[in-house]
Order: sequence, then C-alpha cells, then structure tokens
Amino acid sequence: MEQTQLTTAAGFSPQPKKRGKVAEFFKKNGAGFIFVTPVTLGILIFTLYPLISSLVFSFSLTYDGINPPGDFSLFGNLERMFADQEWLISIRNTVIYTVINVPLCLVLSFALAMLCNVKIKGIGIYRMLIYLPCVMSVVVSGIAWRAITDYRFGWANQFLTAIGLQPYPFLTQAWSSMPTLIIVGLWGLGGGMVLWLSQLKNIPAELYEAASLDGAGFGTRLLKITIPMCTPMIFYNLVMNVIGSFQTFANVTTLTAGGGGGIDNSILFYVQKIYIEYNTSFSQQSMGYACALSWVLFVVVALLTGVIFKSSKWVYYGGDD
Amino acid sequence: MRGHTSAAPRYKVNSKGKRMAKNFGFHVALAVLSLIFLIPIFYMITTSLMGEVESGSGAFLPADPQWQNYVLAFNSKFLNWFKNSLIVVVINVVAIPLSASFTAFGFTRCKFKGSGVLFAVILATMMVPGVVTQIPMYVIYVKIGWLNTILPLTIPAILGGGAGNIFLARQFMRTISPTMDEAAVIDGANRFQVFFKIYLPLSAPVLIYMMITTFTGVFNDVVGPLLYLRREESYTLALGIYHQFLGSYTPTMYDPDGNVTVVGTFPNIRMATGMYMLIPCAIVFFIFQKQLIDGIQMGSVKG
Repeated sequence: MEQTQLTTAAGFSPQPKKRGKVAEFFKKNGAGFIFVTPVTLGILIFTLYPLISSLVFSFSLTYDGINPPGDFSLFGNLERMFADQEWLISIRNTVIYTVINVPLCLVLSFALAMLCNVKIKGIGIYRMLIYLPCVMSVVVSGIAWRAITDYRFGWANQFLTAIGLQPYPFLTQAWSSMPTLIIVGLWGLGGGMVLWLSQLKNIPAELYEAASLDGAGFGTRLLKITIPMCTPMIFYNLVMNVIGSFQTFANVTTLTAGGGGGIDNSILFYVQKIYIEYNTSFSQQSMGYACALSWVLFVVVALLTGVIFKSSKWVYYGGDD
Repeated sequence: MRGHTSAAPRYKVNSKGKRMAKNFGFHVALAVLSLIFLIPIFYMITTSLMGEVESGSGAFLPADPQWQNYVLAFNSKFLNWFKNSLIVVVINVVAIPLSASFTAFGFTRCKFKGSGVLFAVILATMMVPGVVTQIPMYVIYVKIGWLNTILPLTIPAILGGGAGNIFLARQFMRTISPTMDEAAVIDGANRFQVFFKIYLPLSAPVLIYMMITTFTGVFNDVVGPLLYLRREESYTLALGIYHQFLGSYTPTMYDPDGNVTVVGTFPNIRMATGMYMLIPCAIVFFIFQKQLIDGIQMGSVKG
C-alpha cells in the first residue's frame, strides 16, 4: 500500500518517478502474477528444467544416471540409434499402430456416438455400459485381456472354435500380436464416443430442420451437416490421439505381462524402448542414450502436431466467436 | 437411422408401429454392443469367484462361487497399498482442481503482462511426452530423497494442476459474468476474495469434473508409481497389482491348521483384487456420469 501512495506523489521529483513506475507495474499486474506463480514454478521445475537437462544428457555417451555425464558427442547417440535394430523396430511398430489405430478409433467412436445419440428409452444406460471399460485400470484390464486371449484357455479362442473357426494365436505369434493389441484397444472406444456425443449436442437443430425441408436424406445430412460441424472435434481428437498413440506404453506392457515387446518384439513400442534403456542405464551407461531417444520422440511429436495444426483449414469453428 | 441426433426434428411422422419397430432395432443393437463392451468386466466378475484351477481353465461361470477370494485378496499387503493409493488420490483430488482454478482465475480475471505468452507455454507443455521429463526428474528425485515417497506423485500436480485442467477452468470462468466481481470490488473485496468467495463456488461443475477425472486417473495410474516407487511398502494399489500379478501363477499356501500363509496369484485372486480397483472407479462414474459428460462438453465448446 505504501508503494501505491508513492505513485500518486510521483509527479514531483524524478527520483521516485522510477520507483513509482515499478509500483504502478506491480499494482496493475501483481494480482495476476500471484495467481500464476504456482503454475510458473511448476513449469520451470517440472517441465523446463528436466527438458533442458535431458537435452544436455542426450549428448553424453557414458551417462549412467549417477556419475556426472561425460564423453559428449554431437552425433554419437544418433549414430547409435540408427545402428540399433531394436530402435528401428520400435519406430516401425509405433508408426504402424498409429496409422491404423488413430483413424480406426476416430471412425468407430464416431459411429458409436451416432448410434448412442438416438432418443430412445434407456439410452443413458447403454452409453454408461459402453463407457465402463474406460474406467478400468490399465493394469487390471491388461491382466483380464491377457487371460481372455490366452491361446489354450482363453474365452476368445473358445468362442472362435465354438463357431467353427480356427483358434487365433492372439499374443503367441509375431504377426498376430499387433492386430490383437488394436482389437483389444477398441474396448476403450467409449472415451472417444463421449467426446463425439458432446460435439453432436452442439449442432443446432435448425440445420437439420432446414435440410430435411429440402428433402436431404441421412447420408446428405451426415456429410453436409454432421461431419462439417464436428470438424473441431475431429481436429482435437486427431491431435490428442496422435500424441497419445506415439506414447503407447502401459497397455502394451500389461498385455505382455511386463514382457517388453512381445514375441520377436512385434509390439515393441517407442516408449518401451526408452524405458528399456533407462532401466539398464546404470550397467550400460545408457541414460544419455535414453534421453536422446526421448528427445527424438519429443521433436517428432512436436513436428506432427505442427503439421496437423498447419493443415487445419478444414476445421469449422462456427461463424460467431 | 433417422433421428440420429438429439437435435433431429420430427420432420416425418411415422406410424406408431413403424417407430416402435425401429426403436426395437436400436435396443437390440445397443444391447448387443453393451454386452460386448462388458466382456472384460464380466470376465473379472466370474473369474474372481472361481477356484484356483478352475479360474485358469477358461470356464465361463464358477461352478461353486468362492466368495472367500474377496477376503483373501483383502490382505495386509493390499490394505497397505490401498492406503498409499488413497493418500495420493485424496491429495490430488483436492489440490488439482483448486490449483487449476486458481491459475485459471489469473488468466481470466486479472490482466497482467505476458499472460498470453505464459498461457501458450502452458498449453505447449501438453505436447511434451511424459517420458522426456521423467528420466531427468528421476535423477533429481534420487538426489533429493523423493524416491519411494508420494512427493513425485503429488507436488508436480499441485503446482498448477495440469494444462488441460487450467484450460478447462478458464473456459468455464469466461462464462461467469464479470459484473459480479465488479460489484464485489466496489464493496472492498480484493482479487483473492473474489476468487475464493465468488469464482470458486461458481465453478463447482468444472471442479467436480476435474475431481472425477483426477480420481480415476491417479487411482489407476501405473507409470508414475512404476518409475518413482521402488520399494514394496511404498507401492500404490495399481503398482502393487502390476508387480504381484504380472508374473506366473502361484498357489495359495496354508499352514497345517488350514490358515492362509501366502495368498496365491491365480487368476481368481488377481481378478478379486482387480475388482477392488474397479469398484471405486465404477461407483464414482455411475454417480457422476452427468457431470462427467457436461465437463467434457465444457472443454469441447470452441477452443
């Protein structure tokens, strides 16, 4: 409060004028600064600092996480990556998974939302049941799915043989593991569905009324109204799902019972590869390498997000804002 | 497939019979879908009630429901992990909504230099993969003795409450009319009183939403605990289940008097423990599903 009084007296001499300006500045901004202090501290300590130290570590070839990092080299860890077969496999798997899984989940969760958007009795219960698997812990659902997809005793193969099909080697063959992972992931569609439902609610009813007066059928209304009006959500889902998909970790790890990348590393993912290096960092001096791997992931995710944002001209945010 | 949206008009007056037939079709389709989505949960329930050998045999229903599995799963190890989880969850559920709305208030109702830049930085942190910061943080936590404590699982979240939550709270606070706080300021209230007395209570819907998502997210999280909790007595429930149950099956052991000495890890016990993980989340979801959907809607209304 003393400083505020100084400001009022500021006009008289040049000396307090400067202090008055500072006081003025804090009077104007002070409250805002206090409100954002915790988050600023949080970002500085828990995001920016580790981000930068990770970058520094990533150039060290011998860092083990305990002794100070040494043997810095600009391209050493990059060279190591391209000679690392496991890394290349993890990239292949992560890309394949993302390319298939993201569009598949977008389309199927949209279809599910359309179905769950009908006005019939008890629709809320159906929505709830479909969403329910999303509140399951990934650990628990991993254990459950591992048992259900067991080659000999699992329900899935019992079902397949019961309807006269061959049992499917869900997680026991290299070629079948990725499809299994993607199929099991479909039980999480409820999360996407809820997002779509909220977007569908936002579409003004008049649009449909006008369209139906013009004799537009289901297909036309879907293509000309529903989908264009949903583009913000498509965009949001696309960004978040791509970012999330590149960080696939917990669901694979639990499904393979902590066994890393499954048979022949067929479902070894990028983040798993990072944790493998991280877990052996002391004996292999690979902490720097793990940091380099994670920074490459960061750059790739940032670039991809940038590309999606750049290409977002098709997103319709409505006339008013 | 008419009437595919809540907003769909009644532009065609179908005969009553026709509409009933159509609704029946929807009911059948939705019921079948719901059943398919319930498969993993159904598996958990039935397996948790089976005997050891039976539970690994792929049986569909328990021949003789073994309710004592739930008692066996509720052992001292479990209770300790559950207690750890509870502490972490309670701290986060209280602190995250508070911190996020505190920050969001600064962005919505206080003008200050650099707010635009800072907000952009906060949103940009959403893009940083967790694994990038986790490794250096691990090194730091080791040095400052935070390993095997709940601090790494609470302090970072308390400072700011997460970019997504801040964004959501800001979206919500923007809809609160500023005339109210102008009146309060005239009455002599400062910014903090405005926040705690007006904005915080009015933000209840979005706070509840954050509490629900924080609860399920933190309670189910396994990656954070996996990195920072290395001692069995410090495990959270999710991590305890992860470590104990991902290995091969071990049978339950009894002493000569028939008392349990070691609880086995056959699928029946695994699933009974899993049910203890699922039930709190399911209850929270069933009670608050409306708030959950509303919260998602708040976030989705125009970025």
